[in-house]
Amino acid sequence: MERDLKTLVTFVARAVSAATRKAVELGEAATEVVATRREGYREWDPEVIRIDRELENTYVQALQETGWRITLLSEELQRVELPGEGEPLFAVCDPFDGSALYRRRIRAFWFTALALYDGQGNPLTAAIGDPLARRIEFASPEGAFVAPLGNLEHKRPLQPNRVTNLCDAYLATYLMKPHFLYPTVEQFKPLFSVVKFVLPNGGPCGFADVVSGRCDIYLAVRQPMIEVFAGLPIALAAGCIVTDFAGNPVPFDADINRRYDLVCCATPELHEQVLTLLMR
Amino acid sequence: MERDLKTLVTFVARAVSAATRKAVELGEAATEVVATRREGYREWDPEVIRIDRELENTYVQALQETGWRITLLSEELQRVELPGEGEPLFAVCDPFDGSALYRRRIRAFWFTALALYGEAARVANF
Repeated sequence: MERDLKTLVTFVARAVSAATRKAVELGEAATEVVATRREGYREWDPEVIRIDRELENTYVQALQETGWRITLLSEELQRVELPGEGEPLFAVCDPFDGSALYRRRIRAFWFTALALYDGQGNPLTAAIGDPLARRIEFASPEGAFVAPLGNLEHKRPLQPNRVTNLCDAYLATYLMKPHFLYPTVEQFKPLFSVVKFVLPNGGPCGFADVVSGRCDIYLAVRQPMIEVFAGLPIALAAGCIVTDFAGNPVPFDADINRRYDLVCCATPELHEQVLTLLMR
Repeated sequence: MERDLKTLVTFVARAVSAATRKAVELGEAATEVVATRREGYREWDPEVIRIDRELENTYVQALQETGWRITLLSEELQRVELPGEGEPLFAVCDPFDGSALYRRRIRAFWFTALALYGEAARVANF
């Protein structure tokens, strides 16, 4: 398969569409525990359920069929070298984000995500699939787009909001597991107290939430490498500002055990106000 | 309309189904602010948007058509006395729960709810 940037964008959008269709097809039924994670890796979330594995297998198969040389970094398989041709690529995959909700059939915040980086860690493209809304959001050199599932030709551009004041801003940050909830709300009370609304979700979709205007700020607190880098390129493609809490850019690092504190904002004005509060 | 417990259960289930269908039909489009709430009432959430009002109107119409005597307690209208026949009932209505998410097209936790209470503390609630 040829490997220019357009091909990579199309490949990722189609792979995420296939995984999203698979999630729709599985419905609420794939909740069985099929494995437990090794000690020390995501110890707050030790079980792998069938939907995690089935969607990950969908991605592995799609990546293998390209014939490209790829290092896959994925939540369940962790690190897999896929032999092939051409310059090496990194694929970062969060097969199914929202497993804890899925296990209880809570139909909210279910996503699947895949991103590609070149061998030096430069972002190439990413897509995030939403099996509940049946849509795909993806990054391309022309910006970020949304398309209905199964109809990528009907894409339309995504535009972050032009919100400039914290009091008007919706902020997304992961709060659902107590492992994250209490430390996060205690540490960031000054910030959470001044925004308009806090959406307690994060992961790869945190970036898409800002890109699409559903939220204006994504605060990633101690987020695992895979959940960050599976979604980050969509924010960069849309011109969002993404830094660590000290205002530095976020370089790619293939260490899947690394965790990140990041802020992604729709506008420079919001970014400056968030950093000011974080540095107090 | 007869008013045994089975009828009440069926009425509430149908009214909530109609409001749910209305929400599906409105999609993500009914986000305009149509009113602000009076001072002191839900001051953390002062704005009423179109989906709140349209779903509440669906419930009001369904309740009026029963011909029952009902005190409606609802998020936007607050308290309305609907004249009619029979022992008085209370209807408690949350026309659209999840407005803050809906306004940003965040497709999670959107609900609509209605409950009936009678003097004998019987409940039909969906």
